[in-house]
Amino acid sequence: MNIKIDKNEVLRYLGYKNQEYSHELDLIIDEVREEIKDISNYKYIYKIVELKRDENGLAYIDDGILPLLGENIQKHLANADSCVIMAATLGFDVEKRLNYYSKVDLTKNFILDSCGTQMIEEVCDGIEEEVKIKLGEGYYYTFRYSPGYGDYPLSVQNQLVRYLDGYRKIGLTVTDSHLLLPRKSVTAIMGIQKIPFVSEFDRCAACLAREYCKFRKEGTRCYSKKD
Amino acid sequence: MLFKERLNKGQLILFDGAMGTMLQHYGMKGGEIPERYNIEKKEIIKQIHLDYLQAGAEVLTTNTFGANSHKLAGTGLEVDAVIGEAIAIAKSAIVSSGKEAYVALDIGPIGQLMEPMGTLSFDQAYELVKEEVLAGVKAGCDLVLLETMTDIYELKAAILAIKENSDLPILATMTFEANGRTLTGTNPESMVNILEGLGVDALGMNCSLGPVESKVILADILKYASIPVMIQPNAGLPEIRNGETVYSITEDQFVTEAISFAKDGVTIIGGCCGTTPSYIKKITDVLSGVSVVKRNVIRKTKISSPVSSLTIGDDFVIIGERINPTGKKKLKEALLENNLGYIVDEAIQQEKAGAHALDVNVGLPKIDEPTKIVEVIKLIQEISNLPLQIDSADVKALEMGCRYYNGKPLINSVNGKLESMEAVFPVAKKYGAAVIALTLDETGIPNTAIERFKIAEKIMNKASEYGIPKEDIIVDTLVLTVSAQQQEVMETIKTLAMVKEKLGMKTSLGVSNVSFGLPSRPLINSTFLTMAMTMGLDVAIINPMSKEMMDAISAFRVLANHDKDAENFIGKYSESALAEKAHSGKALSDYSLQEIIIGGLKDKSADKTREMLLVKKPLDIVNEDIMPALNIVGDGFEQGKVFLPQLIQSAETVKASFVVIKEALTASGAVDTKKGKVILATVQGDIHDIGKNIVKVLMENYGFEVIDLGKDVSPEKIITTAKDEKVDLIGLSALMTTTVKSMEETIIKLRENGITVPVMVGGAVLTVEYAGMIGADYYGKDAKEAVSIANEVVKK
Repeated sequence: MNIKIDKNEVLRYLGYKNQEYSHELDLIIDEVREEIKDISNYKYIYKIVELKRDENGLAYIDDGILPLLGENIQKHLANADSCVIMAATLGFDVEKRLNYYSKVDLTKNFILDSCGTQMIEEVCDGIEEEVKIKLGEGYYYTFRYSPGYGDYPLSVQNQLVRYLDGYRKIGLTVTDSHLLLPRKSVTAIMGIQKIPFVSEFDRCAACLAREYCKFRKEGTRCYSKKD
Repeated sequence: MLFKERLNKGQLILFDGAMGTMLQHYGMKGGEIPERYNIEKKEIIKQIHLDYLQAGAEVLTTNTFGANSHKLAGTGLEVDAVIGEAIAIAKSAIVSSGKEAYVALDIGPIGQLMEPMGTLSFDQAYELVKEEVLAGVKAGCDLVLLETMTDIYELKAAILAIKENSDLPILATMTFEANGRTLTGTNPESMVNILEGLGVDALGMNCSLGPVESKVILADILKYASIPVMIQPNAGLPEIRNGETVYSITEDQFVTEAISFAKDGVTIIGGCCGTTPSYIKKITDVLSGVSVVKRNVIRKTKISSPVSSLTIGDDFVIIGERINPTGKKKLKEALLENNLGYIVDEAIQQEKAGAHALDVNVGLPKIDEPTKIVEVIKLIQEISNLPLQIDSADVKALEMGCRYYNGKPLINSVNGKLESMEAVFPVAKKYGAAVIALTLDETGIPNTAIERFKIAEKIMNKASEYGIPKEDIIVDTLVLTVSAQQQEVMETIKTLAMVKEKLGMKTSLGVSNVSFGLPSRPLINSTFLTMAMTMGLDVAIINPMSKEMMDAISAFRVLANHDKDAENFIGKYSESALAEKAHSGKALSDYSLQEIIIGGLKDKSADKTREMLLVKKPLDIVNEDIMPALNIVGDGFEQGKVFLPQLIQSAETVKASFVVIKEALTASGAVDTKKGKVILATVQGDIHDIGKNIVKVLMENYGFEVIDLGKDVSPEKIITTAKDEKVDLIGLSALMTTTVKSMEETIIKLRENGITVPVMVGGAVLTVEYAGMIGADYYGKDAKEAVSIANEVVKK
């Protein structure tokens, strides 16, 4: 997997808006980008599953327990014949280092956190690539949709991780409030279809934070530009 | 025959294979709760057990891997019923088969990360396992199998829960990654050392890897373990084919590997994921009734943190003594004021200076020592991988420290008094701790070596009555002050040599007392240390920041042939190394304090502040240098000119300056007045704390006393703290929309409990309107604004 920890993205997460900053800080950012590559033992799992349709045309999965609840995820998968269900984590050591820095070096804590956010995105990009190569020509893909987007409840996280046997396979846990731990982890569902994907889902429209989002105010988005 | 007797019979014990794989074979889907089958599809579980019995398995593993109330929450299943049924089914299968077999209550990981990384506390883990064990005892299982564990701390909680609530034999296995460590970083050596200490009956590895990949790790386990070893590998490495997990090893390959495990000295063999009754049949065909190959394991004196082990006796060991308030004013204050940052710093500095383990002592008159020592141990274990020495005169504090320490600890200390041994040894035995033993008893410290030697011998014999081997005792032959008892200093050294030679035990000394009352103390200390090292001293409990002592140790290690080819020595003392140290970066005088703060050069600010204190008053530095610089950065941030990481760096730079300023103020007798007291907390359910931490450092810079309650904080904790501490402001943070709900609930509870202190909230998804909606008084959009709000609140 090609993990580069795109520096522009890292800077974006750090709130960079062309301010001048010191050479020393620049060195620290590069250092932490290397550090996270060293300590992360990233792992991922995914399953490609056929989507079934009920009498109302709603998508569901019948090889396990993973509900596709809500209007948003259904719209997202409206034209999909199958989907990739994935989970990825940067692992325990990144989590541990984040905690360490939170006690001894806040600057690095913030930078490592941003590098982690970028890195887990790149791991997920890698999974997408892997699936695309595996399936070959003739397929189109939706973007990755995660529990907590729009009206797809965060509580699905528990079922999704259990469905993939995420604890045993990659050490992924879910807290009582449905957050993933280690923190730098992602679960997502990506539809696979025969016709090009046109998103009916405006990520921002479904977001509870849209009214006051700092990214939107600046004309950017919290998710990566290429999506 | 009881399982414990069977285990010691000297004949291989063959377990069953995978339950999950078989359940999938019988149609179980991903995401289903396997334990439901114990209630709703008993016949399937019974059939699986029968198949394994037919295959010749001598132990059946119950279908209870996830039968804890955390995992069963929301499924409608009860732990007691699920486990009761599981054991009943296994027993009925045994009766139906007409064979003899044992029933192992299977306990897998709880599935939550433990604190400090996660949210599951040690006590919660303990209670979850206790519930399982009580159900197991009630239903009559023969033993407990703790398996597929990744976190040794969870395993420790589980073992204690089993031992304190049953007499069941315990087998414990962890699952390793190809890099030779568990997901949380434990290596085989530490696992063995910690588990043997806790008194499990057998230990080993399972799952994750196939038999081939397991070999290297198994070899390590066999090298260290002096108790029976167990292995249950997967049927090779998992591969995904058409969306299904398949395993790569044939039954015949598996058997070949199993035979080689037996030859290497394994006692218990079974299968994990991917193995089926036919794998087990092939194993029992060749290995049933085969004798266990004896291994010869030399026990060593060894203490462990979860990720590393320290062998005492191989190379010279330095234990850092600085986390002990005796005679240390600043640490005393830090402990009383709960200034955990200071303790973190002491730990890190000692580790950097070369300590191999750290002593932890929090004994102060006004402190609840058992509670405090646990808090400090947990804190240090969060930031350091070094093993710890738990130091207290209070046995309750020792016991609590050993219980909550993650690893195999070293206790400091026991002595030859009967009362001391009777109090400390049960604790050491129960938690598998090594112990420092002082050669004094009811008659005091003997003057002669021979008498001190006799006390060491007495302690060794008494320990052995408790089942504590002499390898777990390190004898401290007691350093006396040369200025007071000159003729006895050599007795300390002589005792040391006798203990080493005649008892074969390891030795330690706390060195620095020797020079008390003399000039040039470092010279006396390092010379004495060298004398002791020559006579075979294994451990020095010293201040690793003491250059002279560390120099003596570095030189000794070369001369004693420990530092091969003087590699470390040359790295540290060669001219180029020294020159590099001297010329790191520009000199202090090249910068003003303002430049240092604005540039965020945090390793320079403390020294620069000290330099300025020679010519300027502390408060003048604050008002004329620090505050203006901080404001420049803060204003720049508000205007979008300063990049957030740069603001954080500057804030941390100021923090380092303030440590020095505070020292100067205290020394001059001035009171360090605070503007006000603020509670900061990331609300319950939320684990994102970077924003809160940034607010904290900035608030401290501006003179507020911050009580940081951390992340995932319950409303109750905030209420209690607000009541006890008379705070001026409560700051809450939450990152997610889902946890803003929790924030709202926290505010409601605060108000319900009569807390009228203003509440400020902050977090990525909040706005001023949203903040108002959930009942907050203030919304801090960033750290700078949070400070302005705090200023405004205290002015009122």
